Amino acid sequence: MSKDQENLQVYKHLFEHVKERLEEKGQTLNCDTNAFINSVGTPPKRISYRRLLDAHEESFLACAYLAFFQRLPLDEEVKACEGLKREQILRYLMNKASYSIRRIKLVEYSGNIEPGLRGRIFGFAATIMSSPKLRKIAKKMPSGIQNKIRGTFR
Amino acid sequence: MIKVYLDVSMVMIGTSFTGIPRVLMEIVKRLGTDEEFNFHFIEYDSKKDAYRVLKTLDFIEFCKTKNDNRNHIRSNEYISIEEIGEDCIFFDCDTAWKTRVRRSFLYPILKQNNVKIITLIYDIISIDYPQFCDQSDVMNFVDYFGATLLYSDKIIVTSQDTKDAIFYHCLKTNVDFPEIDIIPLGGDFKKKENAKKNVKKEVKDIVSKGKYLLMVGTIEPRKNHKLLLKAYKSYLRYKINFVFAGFSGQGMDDFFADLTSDPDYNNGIWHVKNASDDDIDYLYKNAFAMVFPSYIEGYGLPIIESFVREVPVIAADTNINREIAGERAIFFEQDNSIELSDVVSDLLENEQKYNELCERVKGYVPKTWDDTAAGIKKSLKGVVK
Repeated sequence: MSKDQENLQVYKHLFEHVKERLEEKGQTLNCDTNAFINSVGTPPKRISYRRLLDAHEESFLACAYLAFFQRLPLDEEVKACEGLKREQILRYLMNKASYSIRRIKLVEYSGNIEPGLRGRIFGFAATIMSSPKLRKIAKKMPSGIQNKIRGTFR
Repeated sequence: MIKVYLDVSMVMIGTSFTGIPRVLMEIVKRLGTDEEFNFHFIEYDSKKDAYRVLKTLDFIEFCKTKNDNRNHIRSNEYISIEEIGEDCIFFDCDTAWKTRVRRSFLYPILKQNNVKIITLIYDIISIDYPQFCDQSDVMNFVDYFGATLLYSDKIIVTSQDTKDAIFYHCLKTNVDFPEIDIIPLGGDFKKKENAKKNVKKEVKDIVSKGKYLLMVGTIEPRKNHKLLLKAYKSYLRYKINFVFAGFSGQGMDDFFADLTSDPDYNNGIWHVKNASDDDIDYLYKNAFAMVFPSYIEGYGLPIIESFVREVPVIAADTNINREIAGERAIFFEQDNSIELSDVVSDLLENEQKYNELCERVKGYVPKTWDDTAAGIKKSLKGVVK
C-alpha cells in the first residue's frame, strides 16, 4: 500500500466511525465513503474534473458538492439532479451562486461549461453583501428570512 | 524570532466573537507582539488563490476592539501556500475546517516544505457525537481532523478528555501518537464598571421574579435544553424559575414549539435571546444555580464562568464536566430529569446543603488567559527547538 493510500485509510476510518455513530443513533449519513474519499485533498479553487471522475456515478453529486462547496447537497438539490449525467450535474452546479462566489476553476476538463448568468449575478451580489455589518443585520432577522437569504446565495 | 503563520480567515468574516474566535483573539492579544515571535496573520483570498497577509498591528487592534470595519487590516501583500517555507510554524487555532482551504490539501504541502504544523483541537464532538452536528460540518471536520492526525507536529487540546479521545482514534487508525499538550482555556473576565447600568430591563424583570436556574449557551440539541424543560414541566414548576440564555441554534423547532406553548412561558420560564455580556453577567450573579445538562462539551466554559462569579453548578455527570468542575459542582445522572429535579428540590428545601454548595465555589481562581497564552507560547517554542 502506498503512503497516499495509507493516509486515505485514516480518513476512511474516521468517515466510517462517524457513519456508524450516526447509525447507532438512528440517523443516516447522506454521503457514501467513495464520495467523501474522492473529495479529500481538493484544492480551494482549481478543481480537477479528472479527479472527480474517480467518484462512482452514484457518488458523483455528493463528491462534487463536497469538492466545490464543502457541503452536502440538500434534499431538493438531490431531487433536482436525479437522473442527470455528470456533465449535466456540472452545469447545474456551475449555475449556483456559490460557484461564482468561490471563483472555482474546473481544470483538466475538455468540455465547455461556464458559470451561468444567474450564478454570476448572485455571486456578484454576494460579494457586496458579505460585509460583517450586513451579516450582523441579517443575523437579527427572523430565521425564515435568514434561511431565504442563505438559500439565495447557496 | 520564530515566524508563525496563523490563518484567521474565519475571524475576518465573523460577526460574533464568542467561543473559538474569542480564544484566538485572546491569544493574539497576548502573543501578537511577543518579541520571540514574528506573527503573520493571513486570510485566504479566492481571487488570488493565495493567502493575503494582514497588517499585524491592525489585526491585533481589531482583536481588542472587535470593530466591524476590517478592510484597513488587509494589505496588498500575498503569499501562496507553496511560499510558506521552512523554519516557520503554521498554527491553526481558528475554526479552520470551515475555511475554503481544506487541511487535507494544505497540510501535505506545508509538510513537504518542512513547515512545523501545530493544531489546536478544541473538541472532536463532530467525530464522536456526529448526531448533534450538521452533516456538512461533520464532513469538513473529518477532513480537518484526519489531516491533523497525519501531518501535525503537535496537537494542543484544552482537556484530558479530548486528548484521550484523540489517542483512541490514533490507535484505531494505526497513526503514531502525536505530541499532545493540554492547555486549559482562561476563565478570567474583565470586570466592567457600571455593568449593571447596561442590563436590559427585560433581564432585570426576569431576575426580580424570584429564584431561577440558569442555562447559558446556544440552544441546540447537544446542550439538552429539553431535559430542563421536562424537569420544569413535570417536577419543578412553581418551585423555581428557569432561564435559558443563548442564541437559537438549528434543529430545535420542536423544543421551541414546546417551550413557547407552555402557559408559564415568559412568566416562570424564559428564553433570553441576544443577551449582551452585561445581561449574561447579571443573570449569572443572581442565579440560584447554573444548570448544565449537555450530552457533550468541548470544555464547558459556562461552568468556569459560574465558578468565577461564585454561582453553584448542577451538571450532568460526564467526563468533561467532572474534569472541568471537579468537586465543586453537584452532578446528576445524564439525561435523568427525575434525578435533576430531586437535586434541585433538595437544594431548595435544605438551606444548609445549598450553602455548602455555595461554599465550594467561594474564592475560585480560574486559569487566566495569560496562563493560556503562556502555555501556547511554550508549545510553539517547543516544536522548533
